Amino acid sequence: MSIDPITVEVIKGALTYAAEEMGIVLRNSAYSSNIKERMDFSCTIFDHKKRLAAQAEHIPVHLGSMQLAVQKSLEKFKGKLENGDMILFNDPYISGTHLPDITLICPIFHEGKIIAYSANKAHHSDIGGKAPGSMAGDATEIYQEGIIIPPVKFVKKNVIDEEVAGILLSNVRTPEIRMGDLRAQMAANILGKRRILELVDRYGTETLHKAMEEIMNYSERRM
Amino acid sequence: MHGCALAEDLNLTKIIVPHNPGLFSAHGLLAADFKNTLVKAVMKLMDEVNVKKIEAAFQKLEVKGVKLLEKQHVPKMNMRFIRQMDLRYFGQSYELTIPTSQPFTEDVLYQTVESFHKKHTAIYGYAVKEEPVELVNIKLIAVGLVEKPKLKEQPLKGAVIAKRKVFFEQNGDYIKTTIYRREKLKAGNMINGPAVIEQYDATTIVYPNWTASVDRFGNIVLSITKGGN
Repeated sequence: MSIDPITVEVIKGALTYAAEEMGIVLRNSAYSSNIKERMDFSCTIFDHKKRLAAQAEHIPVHLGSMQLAVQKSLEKFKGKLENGDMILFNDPYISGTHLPDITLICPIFHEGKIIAYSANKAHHSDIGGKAPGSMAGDATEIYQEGIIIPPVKFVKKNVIDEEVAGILLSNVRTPEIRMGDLRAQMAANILGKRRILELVDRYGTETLHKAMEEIMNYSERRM
Repeated sequence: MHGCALAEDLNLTKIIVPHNPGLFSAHGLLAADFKNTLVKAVMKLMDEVNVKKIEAAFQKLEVKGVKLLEKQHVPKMNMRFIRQMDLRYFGQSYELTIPTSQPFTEDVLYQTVESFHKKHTAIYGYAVKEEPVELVNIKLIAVGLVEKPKLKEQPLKGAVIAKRKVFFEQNGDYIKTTIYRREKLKAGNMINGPAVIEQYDATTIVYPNWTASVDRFGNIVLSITKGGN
């Protein structure tokens, strides 16, 4: 099936704006000034093959590292993701940026299959460790910088897992603010999912995937 | 010109083309009500507000609203007052504006918080009933109703001015199309697409699968007949 350039352009606009809108939801519902005012977060849409299909104009270092982080973190969940799940982690050896950056990934299902992912990363104002803010200049090892969370199912059936959240919140200085920001990250992904499913309703999965592929080809040609 | 195309894109099934589309905003300006928004900052958790104090604050705003409307020469019987609250979860920086009713009582407070949780779910996809809700502002909108200009029914005369071939992208071809003069259309007229309706300040395109009917005010109401494109 071929796809005309106008449809690609329209879908590209819709995907990019979905990522921008995720950012608005994240900023407007977050609790910490680092997210509300410094806007230290990034929102993206990935295709079903875990390739970056659209990004908002957010933080370059987040966006650049996001693709490898999404691919690496989801390896251990192969065949284990269900509709309503979201994966959370901050392990810098996977995420590519420092511990305060928490990534949250949402697989988007349609007719039982993952057709895309909405994902975002946000810099939390404290993630534990030896100093408030979790960025001690005199730290000599990573354990002094805060809690390290490997990829874990943080949201199951659209509900935050209280046990996983409990471990995280017990290790940070401002748990209420952390939780507010995590809910905001969840809200951003839910919005991304809603927008993708609207696009599928309108164009169908095949056209959506073809358009995502074309967006990547187009970027490659421009390099 | 692009009414039908936009409607199909937005999943709408009906469009109204007012009498003078090119001047519609000017018409709207003449028909618009006076609106004065009065705001008072509160910054208190909803669990901790004194409903009597809030009611008194709303009434104070209403006194100010009456004065403003009087300056705008709005008679008492045309004054209306709408109450709202800017609410957020304690910790957030962006509020949602929630309508509330009068008088402000414990029951109304409870209902307003419930509406906030609902609106938060609609906009952000979640609500947290256990989280404290913060009242940032109370708002009073003092409305002065304005008499709307009356619209006249349109006279009847043969409105067909031509027939010509028009290219419709969705059909990929030229289709023989009737051209109408807007000013000559009469209330109750029905036109099946494809059609072009010309007038001094606008052109209305009726797609092949749409119909246009003229209402008693002279508006054209476009409706989709089947499927769309």
